[in-house]
Amino acid sequence: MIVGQRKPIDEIYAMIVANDVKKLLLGGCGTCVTISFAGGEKEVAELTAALELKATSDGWTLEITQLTPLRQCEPEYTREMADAVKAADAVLSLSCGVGVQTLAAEFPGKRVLPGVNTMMLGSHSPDRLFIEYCGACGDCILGETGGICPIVRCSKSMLNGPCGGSVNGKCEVSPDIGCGWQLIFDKLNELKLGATWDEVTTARDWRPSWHGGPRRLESK
Amino acid sequence: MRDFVPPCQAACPAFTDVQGYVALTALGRFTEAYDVARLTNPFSNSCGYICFRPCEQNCRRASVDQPISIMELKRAAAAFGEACGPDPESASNGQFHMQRRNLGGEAKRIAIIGAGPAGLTAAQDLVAAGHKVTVFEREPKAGGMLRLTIPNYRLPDTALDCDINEVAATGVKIKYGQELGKDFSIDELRADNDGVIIATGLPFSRSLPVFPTEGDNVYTAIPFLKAVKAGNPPALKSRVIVVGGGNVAIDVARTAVRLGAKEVNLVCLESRDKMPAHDWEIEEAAAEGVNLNCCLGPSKLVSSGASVEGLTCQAVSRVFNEEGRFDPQFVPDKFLTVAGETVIVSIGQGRDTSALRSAEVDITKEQPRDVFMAGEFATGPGSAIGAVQNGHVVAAAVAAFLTGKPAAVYEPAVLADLPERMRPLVPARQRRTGMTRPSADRVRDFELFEPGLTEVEAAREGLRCMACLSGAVVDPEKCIACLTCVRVCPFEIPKIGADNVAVIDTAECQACGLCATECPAGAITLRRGQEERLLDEAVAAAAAAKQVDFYCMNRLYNDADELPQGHTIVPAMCIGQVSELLMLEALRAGAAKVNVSLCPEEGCFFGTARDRTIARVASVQATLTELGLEPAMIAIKE
Repeated sequence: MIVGQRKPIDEIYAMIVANDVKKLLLGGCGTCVTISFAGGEKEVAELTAALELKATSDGWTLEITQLTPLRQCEPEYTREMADAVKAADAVLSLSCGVGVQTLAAEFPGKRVLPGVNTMMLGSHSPDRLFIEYCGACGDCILGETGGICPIVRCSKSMLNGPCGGSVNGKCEVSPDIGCGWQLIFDKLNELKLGATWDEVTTARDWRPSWHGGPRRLESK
Repeated sequence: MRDFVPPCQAACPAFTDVQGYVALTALGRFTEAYDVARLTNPFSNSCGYICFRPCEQNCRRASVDQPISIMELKRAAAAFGEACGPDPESASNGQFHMQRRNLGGEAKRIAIIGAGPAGLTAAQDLVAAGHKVTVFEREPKAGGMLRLTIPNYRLPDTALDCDINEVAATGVKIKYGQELGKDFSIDELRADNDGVIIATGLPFSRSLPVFPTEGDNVYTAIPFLKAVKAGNPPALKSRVIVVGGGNVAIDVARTAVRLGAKEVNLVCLESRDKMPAHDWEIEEAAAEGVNLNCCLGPSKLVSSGASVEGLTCQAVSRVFNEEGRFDPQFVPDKFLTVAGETVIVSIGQGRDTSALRSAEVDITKEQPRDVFMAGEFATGPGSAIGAVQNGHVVAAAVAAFLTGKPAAVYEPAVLADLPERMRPLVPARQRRTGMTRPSADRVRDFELFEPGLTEVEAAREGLRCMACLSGAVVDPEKCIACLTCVRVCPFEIPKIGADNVAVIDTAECQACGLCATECPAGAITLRRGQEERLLDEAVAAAAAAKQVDFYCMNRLYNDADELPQGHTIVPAMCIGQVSELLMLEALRAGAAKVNVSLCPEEGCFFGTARDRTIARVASVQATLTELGLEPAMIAIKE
């Protein structure tokens, strides 16, 4: 799931003022960012109330329309927003970056502002913690690493074991981060695959990842 | 989806929205509670004193501890709310009552004979449907048996007056002192009206051949009770024998106690547990000194000259036969004599059909299409609320007959019992009743034998309501199965169903509202429009007082012995219902200060509410800080 985080509200407000927006369409997205409490119908309503509160105290005339389609990343869904987009000076999208760009492409001449920082591809735990699990690198090796991704779960994306910064199973970047390679090592032992630890992973071809320019994928 | 109703409502013959008015009572909003109670029961004020409360017998709380004192709350609603005063047009009546004034039209003309609960309920319904209704009452006041015979220690005249005034104010015309067969005939009524309803009840007291029709110191129940209520009680000889085991017999016996009888012996055919009178009434009577002599059939009046000396009774071996029919059998040669100088026979009532046979038609034999029968006249002996129900049914039939349009049928499903696993999770709370007057004191007068709940007691008792069916409803179109509700529910009630939509079991839900406030997709709402109510009240408080104090209802009355005063308090079923949006809306509406009161950790029924509330307040404070506004505008209050 794409995990988003709403931008600090002062940053959002500054964008609105800088763009001289009087009529704002506040567009939520009903899928990924809803689940990550960043851009669903509930967050749209809360952000609307907060912005209007601020605008009123500043004497800024701001009229906000709320709309949350199922997904902003598909033109068929964003087209449902056409009338509201047309009536607005600008759109503040609480979608991930995909949605923001789909909207911008769909509605030429309309300012589309991002209200959410797209954070990661992650997992949602019951205690509301989102953890990054996937870097969308385009060449998955989870089969060799016991289902733990060294690309995102090792801070250095190392492919052949931990660096010298692994201390007591923690990463030197932060004691809150488990060392990705320690996790892989423990997992491989649990799976009785300790022997694979000795195999050397060859140099990786990064072209399927973002080093080959914007990726395009034609489905069958 | 089929509508659900809680079992209290389903059990009420008048289909009263019990949960609705109990919730309003819990908030101390007695006038609104009274309005809700009255919506389907024009005799709600009287029923607050005398109802046999099938609602309480079906209250789901009974599986946790004891049912809510629903009847007492209905009484409190009328007593503490702006119920109808002696003057129906008085300005003190609530807004709702004013809106219901003079509903009548001229569509059709209907005459109703008898201004008891059935007649007046039908009258009000038909007036509301736009018809012109005239009620003919032979007595100088309306209310039927409630007026004439129910003793004042159970039902004060003021409560009944209130009900009658409300009905009259809707545009029902009541003509007093008009007796069928004397002042008008059934033929005249039929000629002048499009429809006629006979609702004359059961005015005759039955007796037995053992007793003289009405002699020295032998009375029948209805004339006896009527005379007492009219202020002309017969002088009772020292010991009184009451014959009969029904509710009327109990009224008679307790009235006799209050009139100063030295001893009151009640004699009835049935065993104690089979007596037709309600259990609690029997207990109340026993507490007041009425002696129960069960399984006895009157056999012979013992008298010396004109003086009664006692009643010889034969032991009863059975009252009903195998088919459940009334067929008493007696034990041969087993007799005993109950001593007493006065006998009051209270073995049932009958209807008066004397004026229903005319030259044109004998209504006792064939019922013309424009003549309807309602209340106990039609159904036989029953309850006040049963008569109200029948009044509704007959009014619908009359309206259907007059307009040719069939009556709408509404048959919602009844909410199931509280599931076994939920029962230990709901905290027990002591039931409050208004039954505080010692029996030795209450037998001395005809004042109310139970003083009723105070305002605070009523509100607290209302809080015991589990608010069945006020809980969460999932909109399957909006739900994205994100699991938030599953994770936030204090009782693990939500599940993701087979079609990948959250399912929240209505029978289990305790209506805290946490899932609804947390759902990021806006897919969960609470029944009964609670979100709207909170928003409306927060906005009103902000506008009026520049301050909003969100409170958990369960905590509201803990600290004080009086109802919370002031316009700032906005009570929620659980503080978890107070969303970030609600806090922001309160600020937007002009509040300079928003307080969110937390329940103490150990006292909170809804375990996860506290943490979520703390997080929400912190989040709103962060938002305010980011916006350069004062974060202290919102605060947690422990």
